[in-house]
Amino acid sequence: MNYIEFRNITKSFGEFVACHDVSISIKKSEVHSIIGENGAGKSTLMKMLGGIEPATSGDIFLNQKVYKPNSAQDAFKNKIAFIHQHFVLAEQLTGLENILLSFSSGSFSLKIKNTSEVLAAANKILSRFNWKIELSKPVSQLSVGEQQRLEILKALLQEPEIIIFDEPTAVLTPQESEELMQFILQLKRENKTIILISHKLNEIKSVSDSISVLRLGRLIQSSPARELSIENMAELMIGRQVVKNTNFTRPTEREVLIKIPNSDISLFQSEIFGVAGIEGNGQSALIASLLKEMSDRQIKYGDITEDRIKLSVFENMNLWEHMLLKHKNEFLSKGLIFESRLRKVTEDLVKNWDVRPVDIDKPLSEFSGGNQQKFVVGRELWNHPDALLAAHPTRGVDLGAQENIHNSLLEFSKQKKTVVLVSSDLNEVLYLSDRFVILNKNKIYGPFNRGELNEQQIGLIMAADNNDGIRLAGQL
Amino acid sequence: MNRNIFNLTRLAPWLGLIGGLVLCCLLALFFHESPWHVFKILTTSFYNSKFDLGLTLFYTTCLIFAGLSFAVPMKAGLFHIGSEGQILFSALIGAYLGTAIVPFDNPFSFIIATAIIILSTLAAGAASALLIAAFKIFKQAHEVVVAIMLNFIFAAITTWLTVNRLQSPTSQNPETALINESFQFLKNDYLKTYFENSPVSVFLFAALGCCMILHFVERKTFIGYKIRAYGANPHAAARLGFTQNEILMISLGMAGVFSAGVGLTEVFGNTFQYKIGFSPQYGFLGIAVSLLAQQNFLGIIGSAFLMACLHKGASDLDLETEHLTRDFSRVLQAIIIFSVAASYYLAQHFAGRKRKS
Repeated sequence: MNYIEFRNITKSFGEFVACHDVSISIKKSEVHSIIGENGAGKSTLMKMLGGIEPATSGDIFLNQKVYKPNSAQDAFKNKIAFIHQHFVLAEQLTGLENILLSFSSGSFSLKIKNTSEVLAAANKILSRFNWKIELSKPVSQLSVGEQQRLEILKALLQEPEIIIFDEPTAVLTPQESEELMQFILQLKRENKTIILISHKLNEIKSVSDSISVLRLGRLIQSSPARELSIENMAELMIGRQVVKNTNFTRPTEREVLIKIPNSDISLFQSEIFGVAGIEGNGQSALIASLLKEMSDRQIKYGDITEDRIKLSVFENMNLWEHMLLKHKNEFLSKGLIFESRLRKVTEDLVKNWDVRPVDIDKPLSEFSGGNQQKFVVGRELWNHPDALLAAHPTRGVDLGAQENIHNSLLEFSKQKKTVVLVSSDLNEVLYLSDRFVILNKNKIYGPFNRGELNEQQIGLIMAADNNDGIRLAGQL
Repeated sequence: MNRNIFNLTRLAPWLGLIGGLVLCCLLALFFHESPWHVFKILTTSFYNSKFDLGLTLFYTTCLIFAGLSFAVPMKAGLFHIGSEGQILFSALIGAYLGTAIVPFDNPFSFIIATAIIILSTLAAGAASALLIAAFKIFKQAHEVVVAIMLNFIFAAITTWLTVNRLQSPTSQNPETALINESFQFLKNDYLKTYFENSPVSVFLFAALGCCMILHFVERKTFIGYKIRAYGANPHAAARLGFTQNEILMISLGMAGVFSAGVGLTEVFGNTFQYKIGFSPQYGFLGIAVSLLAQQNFLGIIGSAFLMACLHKGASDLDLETEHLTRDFSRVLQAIIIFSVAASYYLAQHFAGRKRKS
């Protein structure tokens, strides 16, 4: 019997079956990746291991023994650490305080670990991996990458044997992702068992020993990584071949739609205009001024916000209510809501965009991240706006949906429309954009044409303190 | 919409109500009264006579208005506890205008004067509530803190004005003079006569009408969704262009208008003057009413009636028992409000924790 053994695990939420009769075995000291589209049941499976959700039926064996956790604390005690996709950090507290918090066992425990001891242990780990985090700074002032390292640090201080990473690179820059992958390999060398959930197949390919593929709650295949190519994985995941659309041509004569405020850049119709850069370098200021400009000029625009949960999802409001909030004028007649039309339109949208489950009365917040995003993208494009702001449109979205979203952005831009694509995923910007700018410390560099710079040159502009001599287009 | 009717968050306030009631009855043991006897009085004294039922319906009217005044801002995520101060302020304005304005002896003049008084009273209520919005907009002050301080300030202002400026010359009690006789037209209205001259008046129908209108507005017009969206996620609402100022003005303005409804019910439907201490904390009872109904506007009618029955019962404890006094009834109500509100918050807390994990 292997180190971790899932035996015929089924998990259902009411009528919805998230995992159906899944059996996976994971060896000690290996990197085992679990891949699948959104809603395939990856996170649910891991939540059962992490003690957050109990299984409906089936058993988990850990180290030859039946393992039935009742809480995340039970998982801790069994040396299982869970690094969540969304950070679980108190933003106003410092890094060190967050670490201390993670040591308090019960809600009413007054016992606090010795601060200097914890700090010493933390610094030891930091130096082991050659990381730098200022633990005395409030978490809100740390970069996303640093916050994630803090999460990992928190987990490592508990000296876990098994570490679960739930889509760890979704928010990282290419360099940071690469470092994280190296780090995972280092953990493996230290005999830890790593379970990695991700959509980014090239990363998975580079670090995994074994790969399990889930689709619609069922295990499709579980095999050593060397037996699978990236194309195989993608095909198994979505159940068909992925076709990448790479050649498209633009009309030569294009009209100017608007100018980006505080800069000399004009946005054209029929183009995808990329904005690359590490997050926090002026993206929010750029987005805010662009949105203001568009609404001042009464340009009809769609808005795929940069932070779905904070800016697009209303808790306890269902899909058709979200539809109404965005497109109110389409559904009001004489001041009253035209509900049957609203429901019909929402239902069609959900079907067209393959949002699962097809239930327009379910609160949007209860859908999985990828399905939320599919709904949001569909909703923003529904009334054929003239321009679309797409900020991190595929963040936390699986491959099938990613392809879908990318294609619809391309399709949309062909209809004499403008897309402003803000993304920290450089590949995405390079793949889609006709022209792009790079943000660094609130300065806009560019615009550069497709193919003008290679990835390395872009990386330098993104990270350098001093970019003298590079085309400067504006200041935010 | 929440489809699971029997989940914990929905049931919690009712469990709180039952818990509070049990606690109240047990408390009677300390005063050598039978809990069963106390329970019987609390729950049955509202229909002892037609007059009693009328009195209960009067309380229901006030509690519906007070409940609405809490429920509307709650939809926008605002915990509005300033209703009590707004009730006092608007009632005093109504009573003052009722004595100061004397209509000419023709129906036209009378209708205009009545309209002016009612609208001014409602406006006074709205203005007193918008003070909270102003503090929130200009000073980023928290609405709970501002509202609770304004409650005290309005109580002090109205008391001072009543005693020092508007005191009725013919009375030894701290109260204003009766409003002009022509405005006392509800003295002999149909409802009052039917219920043996109890305080109930046609304002009951106004309160019921408000509930129905709000229910309709919430589901069928955009403004209801806008307010709920703001309550659910202010950041996302701002991104869609619903500004904080707009939502605050609308929801708190409406809250003030409903608070003024209580003032009107008292001054134009019951005593025809402003009496210091007329309100047995309607503003706070309204919180319990609204929470019991989960801010459902039609549900508020039922929960207001329920709280009115309990209120009526609690005030009768003084007469019907040997050892319990009027003050004890206040203790009981405080316990009930407390346990309803606490259970609501506990349920929210646990639901929130569950959602996060």
